[in-house]
Amino acid sequence: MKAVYTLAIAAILLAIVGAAYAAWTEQLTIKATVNTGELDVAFDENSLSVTDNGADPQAAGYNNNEGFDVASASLQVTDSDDEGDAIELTFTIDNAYPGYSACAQFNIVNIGTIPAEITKIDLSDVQAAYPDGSTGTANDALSISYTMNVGDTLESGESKSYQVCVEVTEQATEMTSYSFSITIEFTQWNAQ
Amino acid sequence: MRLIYLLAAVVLALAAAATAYAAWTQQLIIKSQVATGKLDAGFTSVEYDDRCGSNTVDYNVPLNPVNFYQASPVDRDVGCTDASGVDLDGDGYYEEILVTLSNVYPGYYTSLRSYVLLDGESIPARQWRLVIESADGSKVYYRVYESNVTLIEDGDGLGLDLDGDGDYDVAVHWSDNLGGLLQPNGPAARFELKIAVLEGAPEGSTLQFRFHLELIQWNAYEANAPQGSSG
Repeated sequence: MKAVYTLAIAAILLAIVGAAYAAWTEQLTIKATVNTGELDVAFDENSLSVTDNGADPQAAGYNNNEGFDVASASLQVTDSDDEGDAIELTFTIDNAYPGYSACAQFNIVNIGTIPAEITKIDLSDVQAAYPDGSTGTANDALSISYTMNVGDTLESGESKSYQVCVEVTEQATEMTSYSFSITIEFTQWNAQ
Repeated sequence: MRLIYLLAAVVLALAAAATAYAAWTQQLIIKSQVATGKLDAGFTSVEYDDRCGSNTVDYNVPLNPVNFYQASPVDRDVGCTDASGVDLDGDGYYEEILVTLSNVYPGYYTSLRSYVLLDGESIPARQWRLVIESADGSKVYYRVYESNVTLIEDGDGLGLDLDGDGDYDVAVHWSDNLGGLLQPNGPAARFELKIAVLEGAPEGSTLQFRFHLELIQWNAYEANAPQGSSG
């Protein structure tokens, strides 16, 4: 008889629980979509120019009153990203000599959606390849200057003009090929 | 307890670093290639008077003072001249000219001529200075720049004491072309050196000296053209 009572009590309890689960319920949902911006800067291909367009420009202490056009300079895009934006320029100078001075002029444009800040500028050593086949570092052969500054910020859509100038010094040797690079690092403006 | 604080600090530092590295960045690169040219010139040939073995009569000039422009022939072939170009770098042009005077005497006069030519791939240059040295190159007598140099009393030219005894042995006079502009593929510049043997010349000796022209890139000439000469 006790077993019957026990089973009855169990059945009643289960019924109560079942009633509780059967109570009306409703959910409210908040969905969120986050679209991130883009940090994207590039060289403006239409802005490229050089300061040697005829008679050779000279550094202080030298003169070209004769107007000779001996050396030449050019500036070209040599690499682009997946979107076709120019991310590398090459400034080429041929047949140079001590006192020759030329500048590459270009614009950097912020084609992204957030401000971009120059946080680092790396100027490499000048590498020399001599006519006898030897190589070495020759930082004193070229005097290099540039107008980019750490801390410069480009707002979205903004374009700024910069230049890189090269002066061949008297330490440069004949028939030698010198090379160097400048790497400009941009970071989202609000990063430390 | 300290250990806990230390670990917490490390964790915070790492977190901060991770935040910094996680910031969005992009690089733009400017590469540069600079190729230099060259300055290359030389004497193309050497012509001179009274070549040894040519059986030509000597020319003499008045001395005290020396007058290079009154050279006149005499009736004997006594002294003679040899001049030869020296190609130091094997490019086919002479970098130096060696002058040898044999069996000469005071009043003997000779002259030599050459042409200075820039290599076609050279940058423009100016004739900077004339360097006169002893035959073995151990002594530099003069570096003559563009100017009217008169070092012999009442004379016209430079005196060279070749044997070092304190007396001038020969006088030289060069054509007034220092400072002249040379262009690649341009016309060669004529160069002439007049030579007179002076009374200080040692008897029984062969007189020798050599000279070369130093050129300087044209754009640096003004800043490097001192007046006068240095011995």
